[in-house]
Amino acid sequence: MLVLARRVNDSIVIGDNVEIIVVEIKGDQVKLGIKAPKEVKVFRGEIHAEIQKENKAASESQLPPDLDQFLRKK
Amino acid sequence: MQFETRALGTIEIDAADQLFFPEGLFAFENFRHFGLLPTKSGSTFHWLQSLEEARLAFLVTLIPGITPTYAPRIDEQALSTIEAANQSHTEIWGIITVPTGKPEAMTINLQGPILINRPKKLGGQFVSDDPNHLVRTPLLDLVDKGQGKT
Repeated sequence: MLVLARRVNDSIVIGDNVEIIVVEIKGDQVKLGIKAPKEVKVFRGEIHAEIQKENKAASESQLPPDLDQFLRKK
Repeated sequence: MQFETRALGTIEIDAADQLFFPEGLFAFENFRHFGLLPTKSGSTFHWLQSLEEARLAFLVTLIPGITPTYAPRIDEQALSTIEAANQSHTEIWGIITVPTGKPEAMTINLQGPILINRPKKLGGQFVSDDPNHLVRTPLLDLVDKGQGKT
């Protein structure tokens, strides 16, 4: 893994059209600005991992026997 | 054409009812062909059933049917994946997780909903950037609230 030291307002360029800028550093939090074409997906890493994990859990789900009634009763 | 399914046995699914997910689903990127089948006749709950792997199926429901105020901001990129001109051309489904033996604790994923463009038979999973849309939203709480408003 490439590790680079950067200061506020410094940036990193990835490929021809992605740029990541350090906008603010406060304590243990870094704010990053990302310039990328619309077709490049940008997510927070933990959200991506979380949805993957949830999809796996969901794929194991069994149908409760009386789901429709269960909800109607509520 | 006949397909084997996880919950409904071997059934006939017309070409018109077969959906294509160009990017698959998170963690299941290699599965692209799905059918959307009612769990039983008249049910609002459906199986999003892989047409490539019989054991792979997700329990889903239309999110607006559960929580009418749900309105994620869908970016252009997600819309272009399913070739939808705008949000009004899409159906928005939520994947339900039912913990084994505890159906009352079931949750619906409002952070990673499924978008479907029915006329084009295309689908995809996208990420809502609204911090109130949780990966695990208790489904029964949501139903209580939804009915309270009407």
